Amino acid sequence: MIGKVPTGIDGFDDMVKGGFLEKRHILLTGGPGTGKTTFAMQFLYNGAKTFKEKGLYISLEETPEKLLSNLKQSLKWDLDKHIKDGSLVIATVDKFDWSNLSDILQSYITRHGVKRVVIDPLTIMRMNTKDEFEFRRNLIGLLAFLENLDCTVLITAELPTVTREATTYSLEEFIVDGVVVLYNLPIKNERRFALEVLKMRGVNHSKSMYPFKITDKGIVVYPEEII
Amino acid sequence: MDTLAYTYDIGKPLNIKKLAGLKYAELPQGTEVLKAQFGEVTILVFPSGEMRAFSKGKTFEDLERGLMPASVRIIQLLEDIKKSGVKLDPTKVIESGKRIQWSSAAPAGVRKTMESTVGLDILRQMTYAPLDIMSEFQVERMLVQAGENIGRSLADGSLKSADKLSEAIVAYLKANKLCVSSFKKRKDPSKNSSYDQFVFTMSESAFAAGIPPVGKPMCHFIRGLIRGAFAKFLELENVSVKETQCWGLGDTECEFVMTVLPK
Repeated sequence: MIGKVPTGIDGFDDMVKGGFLEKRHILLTGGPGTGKTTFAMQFLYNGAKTFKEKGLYISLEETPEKLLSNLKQSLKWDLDKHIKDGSLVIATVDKFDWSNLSDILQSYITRHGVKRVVIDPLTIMRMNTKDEFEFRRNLIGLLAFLENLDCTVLITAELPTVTREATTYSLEEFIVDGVVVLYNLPIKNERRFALEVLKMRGVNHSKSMYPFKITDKGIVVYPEEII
Repeated sequence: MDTLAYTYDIGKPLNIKKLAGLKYAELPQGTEVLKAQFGEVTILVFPSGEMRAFSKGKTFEDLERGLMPASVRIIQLLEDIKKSGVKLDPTKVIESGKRIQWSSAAPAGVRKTMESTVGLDILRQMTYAPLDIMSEFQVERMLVQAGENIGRSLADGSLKSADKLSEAIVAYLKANKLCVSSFKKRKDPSKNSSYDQFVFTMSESAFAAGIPPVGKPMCHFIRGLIRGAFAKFLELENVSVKETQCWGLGDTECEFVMTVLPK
């Protein structure tokens, strides 16, 4: 029986029948400003705070200081406590390099007991790889390697389009175990955040799109409403 | 089929020869390890009081649920050891059982008559033969892990500076005939880090000297060793070691640059 890894995000775990399947890799994708970083960090923060699982956030774009500063502006989380006690680690890879990234992942997972990992974002990995073939080969190798280690991985990726109808699919969406898409949709005269689970292998997940808000406690999904 | 291996610690030294009379155990010639075989379950008992149980083809969950014949066999063996006069509590020994961490389960000091070095051709085969059946990614990860394990053991707390650590790395590589090396320290040119960079230059790499240029560096074990040593010494994981020159890149020397990444 495969275990579940709850995100602890209100309303979301019900969509995926209790959480992500453990040791799987999930792609979290969406347009700019749709809450990917908040969702990803909330997955780790709840992991550390509620489920006592160590988390590692690898930020390939923002420095850890800037990432933390931005999160602290809008969220009432005690991130410092978990960073201090080592249950939450934020790391970066200067001048992205697949070996550097893999070294850090391998060390934290095998030597420090990290159980939840976020890699943010995939775009940087693609931009810093010589060609598409090498990117695909390295990504498949990385995901296969991570599958052998005892951790659940969330990778963020930027979507170029922001409407459900116009979503284009890329290789990574086919090779990962799950895909969660975040939107910021124009509805009447305003924009509303929404999300859907596009794919989650092994889970009879919800197929609907639900609205969510980003509050000072983090993302809250409203599964009683459907968009 | 996987072979599952568990280790149990009796916690006191044993006179293995005295136990050799157990009806289902044998003392292999020339060693001080007692071997008990129960069908597909093998139990080795060491004079130190450690026991290892090996079993093929069962799942980890089976072992944990205690349904495995291994658990029953171990209790049986422990009861007999107790009858031979050794005072122990079989329940406590079983409770202490844990899955073997292979990377720390193979101390080299067990061999008493053989030299500690192995041939270069064996090392090269172990490094490169896996590439014929596994992905390059996996092989690199495996070699980095092995190198890091060694590197971390070098940073044992007795070394007081990064220079001394670097000297210890150079000495280890030479003593184990892995390469001839030297190091120098410099300021991080990017000025992103308050730590110095350490640059190791190596010739006659056991892993790569003489290999054809394949467009990528190949001394993953040594790269992992340097990284592990500095990560342990500095108590930081944001340590980057890049192999900037290698036979695999078409050079005739290897160079490794250790940088501490900004946090």
